Amino acid sequence: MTTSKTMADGGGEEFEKLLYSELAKRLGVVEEEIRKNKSLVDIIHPRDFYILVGSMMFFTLWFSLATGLTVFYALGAIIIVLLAIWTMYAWKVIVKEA
Amino acid sequence: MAEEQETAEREALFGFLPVLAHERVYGTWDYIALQICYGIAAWAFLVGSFTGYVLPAKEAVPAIFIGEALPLGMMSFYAILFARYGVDQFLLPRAALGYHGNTLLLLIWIPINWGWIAYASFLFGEAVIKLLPAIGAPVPEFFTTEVGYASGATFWAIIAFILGFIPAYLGPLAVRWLTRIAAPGMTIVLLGLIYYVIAEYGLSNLFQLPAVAPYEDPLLNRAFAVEWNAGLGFAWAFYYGQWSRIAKSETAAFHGPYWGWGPIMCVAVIFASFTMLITGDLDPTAWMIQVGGPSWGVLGLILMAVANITSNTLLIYTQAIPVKYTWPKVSWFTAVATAIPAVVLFNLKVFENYNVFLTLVGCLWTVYPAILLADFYVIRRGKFDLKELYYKGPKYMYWRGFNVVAMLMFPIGYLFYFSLVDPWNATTEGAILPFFRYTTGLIPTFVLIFFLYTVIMKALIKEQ
Repeated sequence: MTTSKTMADGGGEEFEKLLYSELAKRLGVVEEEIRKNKSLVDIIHPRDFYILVGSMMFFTLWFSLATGLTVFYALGAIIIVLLAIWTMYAWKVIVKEA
Repeated sequence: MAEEQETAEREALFGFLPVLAHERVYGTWDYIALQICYGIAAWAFLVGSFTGYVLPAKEAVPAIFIGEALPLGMMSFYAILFARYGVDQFLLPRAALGYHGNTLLLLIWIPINWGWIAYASFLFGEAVIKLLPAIGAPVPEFFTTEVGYASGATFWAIIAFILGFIPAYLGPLAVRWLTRIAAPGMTIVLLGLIYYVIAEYGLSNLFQLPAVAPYEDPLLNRAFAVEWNAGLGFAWAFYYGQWSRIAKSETAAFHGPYWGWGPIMCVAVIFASFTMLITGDLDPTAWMIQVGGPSWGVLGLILMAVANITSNTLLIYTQAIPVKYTWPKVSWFTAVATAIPAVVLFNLKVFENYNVFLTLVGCLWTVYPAILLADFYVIRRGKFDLKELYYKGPKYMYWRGFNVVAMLMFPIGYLFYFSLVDPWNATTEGAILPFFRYTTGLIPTFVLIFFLYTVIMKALIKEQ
């Protein structure tokens, strides 16, 4: 498949008919895939959450402590707690319960 | 039959249809490269400049990370849902906002996106008018002028727009090649510039430089610095689904925005804050030659020029996809061409008021992800009925196509935000609520809307 051709000229009834018939087919595929595999593509792994959120927060905390910024340290700590709670919750909802 | 299949697949990539697994074209590295190109651009340099305006280096670095971390840490999760269903940013929110509410928001967002295109294009213009004299190019004076519409900066901004427009029109595969080439190049130049600045000025000297023009209250400096960075972080709220829908896995959808708009973009913001501290000039293109000298300075200006062209491409494509979703019968060219009115904003005055733009519209894009995250995760628990969403069925109709609760969150968010801070003048004088200096404005607004929306919607669902 190439993208050199212009796409979706839009407009006419023929186009609309084709579009909605394809949509109906695809919605069936999506529904089936979600029911069977939870997602159209490979589902996310928990390490993705923890590595990323952890690394960014670690740096912020480390820098705040190293520079002795107590107000920022407090703000950073609150944000870490919020993100940790959120991460656990989001994980439960979109992976475990999916 | 084969031709029909190809048409359908292209329509999926370029527009309206859900993108199936075998049609996805962006792997993790492609997606990270794409978001690096998005992140390293006008906004990163401008926000960095403003941060250095009010904070010294040792405070600027954590302020930048804290400001960017919370929005990205929260919002990266909804990238997963767009990848899961293979649909656009402006389809799933129909479930939260109602069909017409979602279209209304699209109509408000499009002019804001023009603003982003204007900043990227004009910074390209600013870079070129400084690059030409730096390399001794023999061009008429007009091509290096800055003020007014009839100026070199505006002319070059239009060129940047055209250069960005072409790959956006060609679609995601053309964009992928552009970003595969541009992202590593931009990252190397950026790291080289940082190395040069540290080697030239010394890290300890950099850390002793005072902020350029801070407020008297140190807490206010920190709060405004976090605020501007959080404004940029929340700004990405509208830009996930257009790309996540073509990600090959949920992991790719998650990593791309997180790295590109997170730590890697933070490097660009930190670099900008350092150079602001050295030069005291708010214009990122002005300090490139001052800080980098003739060699690194010219490279830096080229970086800015390239960075803003790729950003333009991404912004234009990002706008075209929801236009196709909302009005599927329009041609792809028409969808892409909806970005053209941005040209009206290619002006120095618009460019100079970036912080006002950021904080004002920042409130809108803080309320938006707060509603979506609450709705997608707490109310709907990640489950959507795509048939209803596409065919605008009764399930998400609410009141005449508007979810009144979600719509009310916008004025509530704005009222609350304006009771904390006056973003026009970047001051808290006259604020009704006195805690901006401790909490910033956007972060408590996000938290308030998230919980308020959740509580009201849960109560309504229980009643029904």
